[in-house]
Amino acid sequence: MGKITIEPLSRVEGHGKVTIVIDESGRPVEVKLHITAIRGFEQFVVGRPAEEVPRIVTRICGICQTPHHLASVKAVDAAWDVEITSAAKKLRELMLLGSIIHSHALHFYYLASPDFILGPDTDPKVRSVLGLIEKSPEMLKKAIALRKFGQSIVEKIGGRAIHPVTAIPGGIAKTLSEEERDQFLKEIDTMIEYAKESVELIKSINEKYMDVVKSLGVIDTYYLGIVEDGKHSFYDGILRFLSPDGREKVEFPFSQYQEYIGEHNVPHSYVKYPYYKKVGYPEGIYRVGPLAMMNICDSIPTPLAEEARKEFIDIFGNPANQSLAYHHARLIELLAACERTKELLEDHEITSKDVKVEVEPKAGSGVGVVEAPRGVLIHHYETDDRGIVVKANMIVASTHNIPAMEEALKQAVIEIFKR
Amino acid sequence: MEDKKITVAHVQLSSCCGCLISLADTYEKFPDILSSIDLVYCQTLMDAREIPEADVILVEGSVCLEDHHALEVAREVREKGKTVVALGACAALGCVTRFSKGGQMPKPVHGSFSSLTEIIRCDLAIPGCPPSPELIVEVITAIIRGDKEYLKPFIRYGECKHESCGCDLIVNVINKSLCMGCGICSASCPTRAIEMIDGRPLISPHLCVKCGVCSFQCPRIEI
Repeated sequence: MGKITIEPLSRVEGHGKVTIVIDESGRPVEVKLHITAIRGFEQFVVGRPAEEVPRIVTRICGICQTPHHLASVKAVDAAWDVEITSAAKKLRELMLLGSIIHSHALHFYYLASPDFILGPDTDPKVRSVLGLIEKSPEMLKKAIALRKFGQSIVEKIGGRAIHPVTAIPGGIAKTLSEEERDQFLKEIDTMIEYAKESVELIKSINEKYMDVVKSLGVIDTYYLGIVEDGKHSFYDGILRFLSPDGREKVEFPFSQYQEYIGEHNVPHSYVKYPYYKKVGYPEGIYRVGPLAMMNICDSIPTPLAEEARKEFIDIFGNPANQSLAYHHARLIELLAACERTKELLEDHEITSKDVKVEVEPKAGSGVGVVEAPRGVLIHHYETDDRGIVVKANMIVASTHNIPAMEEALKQAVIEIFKR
Repeated sequence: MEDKKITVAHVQLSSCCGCLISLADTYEKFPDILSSIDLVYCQTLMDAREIPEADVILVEGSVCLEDHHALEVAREVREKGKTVVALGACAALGCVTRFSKGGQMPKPVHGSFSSLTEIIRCDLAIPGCPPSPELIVEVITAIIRGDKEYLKPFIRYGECKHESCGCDLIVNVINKSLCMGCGICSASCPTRAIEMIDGRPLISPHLCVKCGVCSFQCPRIEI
């Protein structure tokens, strides 16, 4: 018997480790993913005025603060039966897209791409963004430009690039000026171009590593994501589960998530293991995020990203079950986010000042969901008649994926040990 | 500088990683910053799995007192870092992790979080949630230059003598008749928790995230 421990997990946000137990004959018999940090946000927002919660929960994640801010404020809106104006909704959506652009560029270029650009066998000391400074400075410049563009949108609408503050129950506390809008419009075509190049880049990388992509981390799971009229959507819509064989689609509104998603506790990890309730645990484990979004949507509403999605299906099938295809899917979403950003910037309503309706705190229960960079993000609050939070439940995007990540790791470990 | 680059490690305890992202938000300058130092450990950006000895260890996040692993890491960074910097409000002052009260499944016992400055001696502490990209860069640059004068307020924050809920403004400025009503505290607050009423700051405990920026920015606090 032996045990391999990989700790800490690197080039990820957060704390985790992987343990692999090996039997006498040298075969892996157990692979576990341990998530080893917890701060308890669900507990400590209880007792606070609900309108302040969106500013606190951003601190759950320093990379995807904006989705937390927005899912949270949507949950408060829902609890208090507030219908926000269409201009406010568009501004919030634009802020979310800014965050998606920043995060997708960060995830692929800063964190994941060194494995491919520098190669998996490169010295770990060099195999990071540091190595890219030497090897691919031009590529890195474009990645930085994408991040800067995305974060600047968040800053202009959200007040701050990290931990934005402007989304409030009833709308948003800041508008976008025409000058600011014009500045972004000047840059957006370049960003779309960079996003297109990103898709081309991942296609050439995949060609080089296709045997790895199609053999490591390949598992069948359910898939979950947001659709609006069946189409890919970041900010609003309904949730859709897709079965592993791609045949069955089940749709439900955000407010009913508890009827469809269960949470299972395991002793070795500090996160709960979500599963599709109608199937049970562990058969009902599912994936969220870009890969799941490619699978569950009927189409992407913007032309370049839709074309890229069709190519993606040709390469990986539908549903695509290869975990390493996430990168490709992520860059298609980057393109989709850039295209949608342009649509919103060209919408005359984006500079509207009609962004706030009156709200009255009251007793209620509300669910707010957005598509965060890692996938479906759920915030659910119950408030008392003074609008104080009495109960909170949050399922953050990466949490949905944890059980599937563990399965994918198992499959990859077994495959690697065979070789 | 032609000398050997200083070795820098970035270690994350209980935090959101926003401080490191803030450093990345130097955008075009980020590659230059990384090239100007010898980054030897940063779990979020690279694959080194052991914290090595380093000239500077930037620690982000607070310390969970019920988590022996976190306490061990805190001790390890003190042993291995010549200069330990509490980077950002969680490490410097506790920030939102001060709200924690445990009770969350599946690890309900994790409920007490202390700032790193309370757990180990920190040479410097940078408040802010997150500290601005410029501030982080300036501090790193001052460490490289050995600019003690610039680092003075950060050394003071490292000594952990300060509350961070706006009450330090009341105790150290208003009660001492030092407040001149400039409103810098209010302007610097990232959650708009401070309103200027009759020329004095009125601090809302509901909005404050305990980041420490208000008193750090106050021009009337003795340094």
